Amino acid sequence: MTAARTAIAGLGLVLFISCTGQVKGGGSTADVTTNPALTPGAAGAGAGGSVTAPPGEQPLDCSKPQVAFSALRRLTREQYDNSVRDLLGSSGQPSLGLAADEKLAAFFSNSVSPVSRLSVEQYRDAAEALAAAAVAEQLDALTGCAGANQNAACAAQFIQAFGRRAIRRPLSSDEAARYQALYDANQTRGFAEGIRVVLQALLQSPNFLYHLELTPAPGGVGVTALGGYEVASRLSFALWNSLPDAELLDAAAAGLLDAKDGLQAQAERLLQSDRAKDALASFHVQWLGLDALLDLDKDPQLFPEFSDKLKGAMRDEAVSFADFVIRRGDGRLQTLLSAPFTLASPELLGLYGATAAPAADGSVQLDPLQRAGLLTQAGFLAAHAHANQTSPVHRGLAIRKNLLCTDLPDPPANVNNNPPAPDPNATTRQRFEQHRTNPSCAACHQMMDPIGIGFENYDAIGRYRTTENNLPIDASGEVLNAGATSGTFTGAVELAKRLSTSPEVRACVQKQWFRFSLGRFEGPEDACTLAGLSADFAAADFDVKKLLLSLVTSDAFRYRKAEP
Amino acid sequence: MKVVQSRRKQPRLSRRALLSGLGASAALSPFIPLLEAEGQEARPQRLILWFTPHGTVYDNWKPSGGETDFTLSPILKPLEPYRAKLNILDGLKVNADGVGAPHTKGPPLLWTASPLSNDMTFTRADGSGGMYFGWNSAPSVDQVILNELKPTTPYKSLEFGVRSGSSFPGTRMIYSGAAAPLAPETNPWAAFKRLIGDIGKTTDQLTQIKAERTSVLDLLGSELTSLQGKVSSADKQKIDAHLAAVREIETRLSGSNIACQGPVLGDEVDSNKSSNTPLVMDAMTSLMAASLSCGLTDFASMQYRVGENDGGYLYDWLGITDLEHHLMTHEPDTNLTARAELTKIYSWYAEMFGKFLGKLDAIPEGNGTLLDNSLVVWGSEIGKGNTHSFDKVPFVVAGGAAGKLKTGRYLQYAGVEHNRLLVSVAQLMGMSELQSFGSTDKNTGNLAGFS
Repeated sequence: MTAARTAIAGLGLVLFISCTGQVKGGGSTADVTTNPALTPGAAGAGAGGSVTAPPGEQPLDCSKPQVAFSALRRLTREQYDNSVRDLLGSSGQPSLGLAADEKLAAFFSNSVSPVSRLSVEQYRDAAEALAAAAVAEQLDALTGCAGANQNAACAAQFIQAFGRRAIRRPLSSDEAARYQALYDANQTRGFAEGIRVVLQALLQSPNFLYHLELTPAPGGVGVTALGGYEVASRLSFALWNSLPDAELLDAAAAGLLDAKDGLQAQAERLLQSDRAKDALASFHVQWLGLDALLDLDKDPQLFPEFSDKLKGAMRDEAVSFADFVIRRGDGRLQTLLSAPFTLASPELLGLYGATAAPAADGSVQLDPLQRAGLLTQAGFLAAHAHANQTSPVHRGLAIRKNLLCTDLPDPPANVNNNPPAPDPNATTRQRFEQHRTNPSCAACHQMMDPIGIGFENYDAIGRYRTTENNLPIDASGEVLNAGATSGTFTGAVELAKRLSTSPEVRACVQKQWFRFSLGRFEGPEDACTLAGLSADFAAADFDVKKLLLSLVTSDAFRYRKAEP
Repeated sequence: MKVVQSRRKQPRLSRRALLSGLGASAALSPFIPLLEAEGQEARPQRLILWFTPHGTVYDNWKPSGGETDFTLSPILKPLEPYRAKLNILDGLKVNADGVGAPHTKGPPLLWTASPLSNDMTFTRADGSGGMYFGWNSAPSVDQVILNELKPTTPYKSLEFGVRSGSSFPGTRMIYSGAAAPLAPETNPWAAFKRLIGDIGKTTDQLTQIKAERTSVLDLLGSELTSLQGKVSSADKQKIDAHLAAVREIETRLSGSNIACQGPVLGDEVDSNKSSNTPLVMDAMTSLMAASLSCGLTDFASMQYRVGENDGGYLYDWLGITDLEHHLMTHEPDTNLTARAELTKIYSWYAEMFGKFLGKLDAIPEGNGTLLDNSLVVWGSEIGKGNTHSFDKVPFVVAGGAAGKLKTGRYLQYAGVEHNRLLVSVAQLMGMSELQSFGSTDKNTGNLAGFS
């Protein structure tokens, strides 16, 4: 692992130096992006084979489970909200009172730094408020008992049943006894009070707040199969972004998740449920960088219509569209990135100038010369633009990072890497010319700007335009150093179509789903899983739903690496 | 019962008189030990770290004149009422060698004077060229001091923020240890409820809440303890941190009640909305001042915004709606419009800082005010936006550290590492033996001429 990291560091440095225009030593940007050893998933190996190892390391033997270490994670704020909703039937966003999540690359995961002192108190405050409201509003429904039946026996039963849902496994007898004691100490003020305090404790329990995976490995360390309940939990958080339902826990109890086919059957059931929309929403919002959209401001002089409502509509569009394609449509990545239809609010359809009537399924056809899938939706275009102008750099960078998984080094600290000020007599392309003509800028900006400039037909809030400052827009662009995706194109629709069938994008999307579902970066030991995903994704004609099924039944998903 | 008068309209009373004179409007919190011991007048000094992003416009920040006969600059003008209580430190630099982009490593460097860890926490393993980095490698100065002094206040420290972003190095400046950022509270109304929100409850109610919380914490402690032996050593650190937080809350609960006066925050507004920033800042600083004067803590911090590129963030309340602040700082010095707008923003920073100082200065304490007994250190993650230079990082220190620090001074330095300032801060706070701080420079000693 150390050798691989050193090699990677070296390559990063090469790119960085090249960006400042002082390329030294062997290596170019092309070497970086075409080196198959550095592109997991592209290495290619079927189940039972081996995959290319980083230099100096043994090839991985994929005939036995291989998996990198998963650090202990806390629930994200979304997972907290969804879990509370599913447990208590309540609505709202109690997580607004919790400290912000830790973010790794595109996704929140809370996997590295320990919980803050503040967070522990915030969990308490949220738990106290939720428990009080639940008991006041729906004690009977929550406990399944009414009137005289609200007694010690009912409480004991509640602790077992509700506790199992909350901590995603049955309580041990010790654990049950602790909650029982808590109930006993507080029921002197009445049944409801006892239940309220039990609820309060369960919602602050580390077994609720963390994704704990404790099934011991034989011998204490090494690759080991997760327990059935642990698989259930991973599965429901991956596909629902929430905790398991009773049926999934029962399947775990019956041992049905220990084998791939049983796991697959449950995964298919979860994907059919509308609750899968929560996970798809979470993935796409983060993947496309839409999480900042709601807090984003635009110049109110130029974009008075950029209201909270419109921002919300933009986010909702991406979410509804992704859910529609993946769960109710053909599921294909190609459709996600190139479909000429959408599901959007009237305000947003107005922004698009759409005139077609909605189809029976709610979808609306857009002008196929103007719109093609997620990347030409207003949310992506507005999120990656400035307050008063577009941003070829940010749009290009988002494609590079999130769609092609090629991260670029940071810009040199001492350059004015600002967008040139809007000029009433020039187009954005003209203003950004320096990034191309100045060699010290071009080394890095050639990776971004020629992609981003292809989006110039969309203004800073995603409205289609053919002129800028009364000058015609030239939306011709080029993808450089990106394998089969490389080449010139004209306009975002053509670019989107290319990306929608790009092998580099497919490999990247697999990785993004891996990171989202497991809450961590892929490690060297995950190469077998990524190779398997690659094969399955291709065999399924790049159906994202099938990719998810492959992912949740992969070794990386079913096993963990126990460390001392 | 929740409503109490604004502190600023109070006649100047000694702290004891103030507390004992509250009568029926007193807040009685069960979670705070009694601090007002008989005969005790002097309060320990406080340390407050204050952050605003993206450096300054140096020429418009730099005062003119000499050490004591200086004239405040356009940017620092709003601090005029507190001129006699300031030390303006010109020419300090942050040694920023090491991994991470300037705005990313700047906030962690500011109070730790130690670099980000050179690990792959925040990057990918695909070798595509992104520079990698981890969380910060060492604790911040406030945490180092309080670990040494072991204050008996209910809270070791309180972290406050306004729009402080998600958890990431470029958005976190206070660290209890390596890779252990402390999240700031960014909603003043939520913080109010938690810190002093039990105003108006009866003694019986408070006793019950206390008993209930104690029993829940006891259970959580048992659960966490049993997990310690079941997780890997890497994961155990997380369980340990959680358990330590639970124990801290237990300790607070076991203390006696305290009477304390809460601030008036006004109606709650959305703390994440840009245009609400001035309101939220005002509410948060009122709460900070109250937390310090009530003795909830002696260590506090304010993180306004983030070091990381704050794309999409406009100063609409200052009439600046065309370009985001971060981008504006990249403009060349020759762009006079940008300089004027930036000066307006930085001057607003000074105004906010001044308002906070005013709140501290309105609280009588001993022979002076709470501000006199405090050390309020204001810094930024870089010096200058369009070069991302770490030279001439703007530092202002307010308060006299309970008479230990001369004030009313403008001190000029020629590129001295800010580690020296942090050594001075630690010494002034009571760590008199400490001679070096952080790992970013090898020199020792405090900031000459300052402390």
